[in-house]
Amino acid sequence: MANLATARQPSAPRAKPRWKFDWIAYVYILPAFVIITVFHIIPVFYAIYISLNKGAINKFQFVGLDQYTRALTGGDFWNALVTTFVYALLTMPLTMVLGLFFAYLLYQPFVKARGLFRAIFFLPYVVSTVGSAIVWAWVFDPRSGLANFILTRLGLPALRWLIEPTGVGELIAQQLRVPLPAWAHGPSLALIGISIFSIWQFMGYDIVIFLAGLTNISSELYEAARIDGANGVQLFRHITVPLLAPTTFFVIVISVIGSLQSFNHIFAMNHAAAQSLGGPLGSTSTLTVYMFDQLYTYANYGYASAIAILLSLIILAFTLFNFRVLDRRARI
Amino acid sequence: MNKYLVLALVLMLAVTVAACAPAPTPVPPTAVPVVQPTAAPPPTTAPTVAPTAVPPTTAPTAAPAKPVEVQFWTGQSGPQDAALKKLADSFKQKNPNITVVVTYQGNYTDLYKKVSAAIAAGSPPDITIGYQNDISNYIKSDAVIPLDDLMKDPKIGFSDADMKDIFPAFIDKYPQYGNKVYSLAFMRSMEVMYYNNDLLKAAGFTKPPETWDDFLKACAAIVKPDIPCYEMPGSGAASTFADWVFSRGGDVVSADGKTVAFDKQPGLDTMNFLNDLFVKKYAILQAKAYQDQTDFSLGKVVFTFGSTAGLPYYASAIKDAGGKVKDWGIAPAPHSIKDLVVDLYGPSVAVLKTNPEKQQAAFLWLKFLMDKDPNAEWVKATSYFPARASTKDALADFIKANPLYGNAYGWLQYGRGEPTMAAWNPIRNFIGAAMVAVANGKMTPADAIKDAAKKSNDALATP
Repeated sequence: MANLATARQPSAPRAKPRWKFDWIAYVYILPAFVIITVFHIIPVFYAIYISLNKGAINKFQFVGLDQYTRALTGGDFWNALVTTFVYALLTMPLTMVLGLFFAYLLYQPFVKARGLFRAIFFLPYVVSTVGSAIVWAWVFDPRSGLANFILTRLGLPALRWLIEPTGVGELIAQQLRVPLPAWAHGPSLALIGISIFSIWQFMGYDIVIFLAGLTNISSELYEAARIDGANGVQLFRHITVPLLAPTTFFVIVISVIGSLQSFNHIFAMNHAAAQSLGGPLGSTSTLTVYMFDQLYTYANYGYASAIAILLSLIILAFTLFNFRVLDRRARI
Repeated sequence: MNKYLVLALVLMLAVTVAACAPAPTPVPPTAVPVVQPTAAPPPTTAPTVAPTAVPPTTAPTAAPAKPVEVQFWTGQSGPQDAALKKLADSFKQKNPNITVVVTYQGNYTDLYKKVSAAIAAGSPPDITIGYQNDISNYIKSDAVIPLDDLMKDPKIGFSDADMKDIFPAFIDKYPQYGNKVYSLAFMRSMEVMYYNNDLLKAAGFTKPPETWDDFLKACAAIVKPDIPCYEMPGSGAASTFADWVFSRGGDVVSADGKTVAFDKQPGLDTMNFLNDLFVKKYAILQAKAYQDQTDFSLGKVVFTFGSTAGLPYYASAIKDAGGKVKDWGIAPAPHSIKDLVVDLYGPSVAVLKTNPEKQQAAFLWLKFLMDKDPNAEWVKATSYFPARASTKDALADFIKANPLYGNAYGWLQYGRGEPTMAAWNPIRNFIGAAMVAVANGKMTPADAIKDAAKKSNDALATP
């Protein structure tokens, strides 16, 4: 391996570079290299191989790109993709906005016991997903849950929450007795319920990251702006937001990847609410849930692998987009 | 270059490769998991012929010449795991050269995943528990062996008396694979109707409904806003649906296993009946797992449908709820045909393709589990039904102490299994989705049946 540090010395003459094989470096990286190769790289290539086949566990039959064609021309894949994006749009912006709001609140000098509040907000993120999903299934229980208790006390009708496949738009239209076209039915109430859980669980993570970003902003900037007569909104808009941009960019990238890969809490809540995988009539079936179902319920190994590869490509595309567009803006 | 570094490199590589290599024998998990929940919805096979109680032959001991270790992977946890390990010790005493290592691998879904992965990795267990549709997937992968020859083997197989003694529903024939036997069962449970007799008596009914019309009459008389007649799982209830179709003289798949049969009149009647229950507000959808069991124990639902394996759990839930329900029982689902038919289901056991010695040892272990006395021990620990009619003698005290179990034992002879094909798992989901669509008013019963039948037939046609 070339000793790049030496080769890049600006003062060094353009002579023949000195090649040196650093065995010790390879010894150091070997364990990580083997683990990453065995548990990450090889499985990726194996998944690609499986996605080009069909058949039973160890009797695959090569079918080329048929599994990809099946996914891209079938309605179920696109339905799951739409559900995934709807879920991401329901959860990601609200989680971030609430995360930033609470982080900014905790950042204010008048807030005492900031560490305690930070721990309280972070708690849902570290609590077992399965445990909290069961608790939330109780909260959303149509007959005895807290959510309906509150709704009925407010004079609103009780809802079926996690077992309701009907779109929220349609539910509202039913209450108002007005007709609504099918495209305006919106996401199912079950998906809204899962999104509420998701926001509750992941907001704490965003708060901690934003709080870390906020503490990196020099207080002198705020003081100088205040002397110049800036009010609270101007401080937030012209100092906090621009200087928090790298943190915001990081949160966006992590949130996009996280929401597109969401599985655990959807799976757990489906089960906790006595639903089949994908929720009532498949209305909470995101791509990961659909992929899992195809693998373990239908034993479609090749098809499930093709979905996994397509999902990876979608996430890669979004991440590259974020890096190309948002990162550039974050650095301005 | 430093030779010590090269040596270190080689050693590190060797250690890493060794660490990544599959362990020759899986180590049983140390933590004892919680007891398996009840209403496991499962499949089976077999015609409806009552076996005659013939004294079985004593277990032949065709012990292998040299020691053999048999890896037995299960989905049985807690007391069931302990019971199996105790039986493995008894087996070892009779067959000193065979050591059975019982390993709990998680619930049936986890077990299926692990066995599939082990087959793909080329290091499968020697014998495993699994539902018939999962075993069908193993057959597809050429990973399990047919048991017909071993069953007929004069030295280690079953005698004619044994075959007459074993209930047909415990012998799984796979019509899609030459009607060969690829799995045998040492336990089954039955889909039954749990009824709250306090509520029935208060409404003037002297016995649980025996026909579907009686069922609707009871619902009409008892149902209140906070007491439904039936609570359906939010994922649907394919085994309940199958049981209701059987009770109307129908079946869920055709005899050759190539097409579904639930789209015939009995299936349509069943779906119309379900629709009636929801339209008349006699039924609700469950919003939590096992909600029907909890509500039953609180006297908040009149009927539930589920496995007899749930009997101990119902009894314990009623006790925990302070005995609000005093009088309750189980009965076969109401029926509109003369002859009783009940849905029998439960996991079976398949022997994986390893080597002849291990296969033979694994079969001997399976045969031991189906023998009268070991099987009786298993039944006492689990409340499942035994594989042999003759086991009833060994269960006399148990049946006396558990009269509801005794009642159900009497219906065993009317048992019919669910299909064994790999497609049965997705078909169960299609049926469940159809039930949920009807319950939510999203599809008419006829459309729901038609849609589920089309998807199911497509699944059956997929090789």
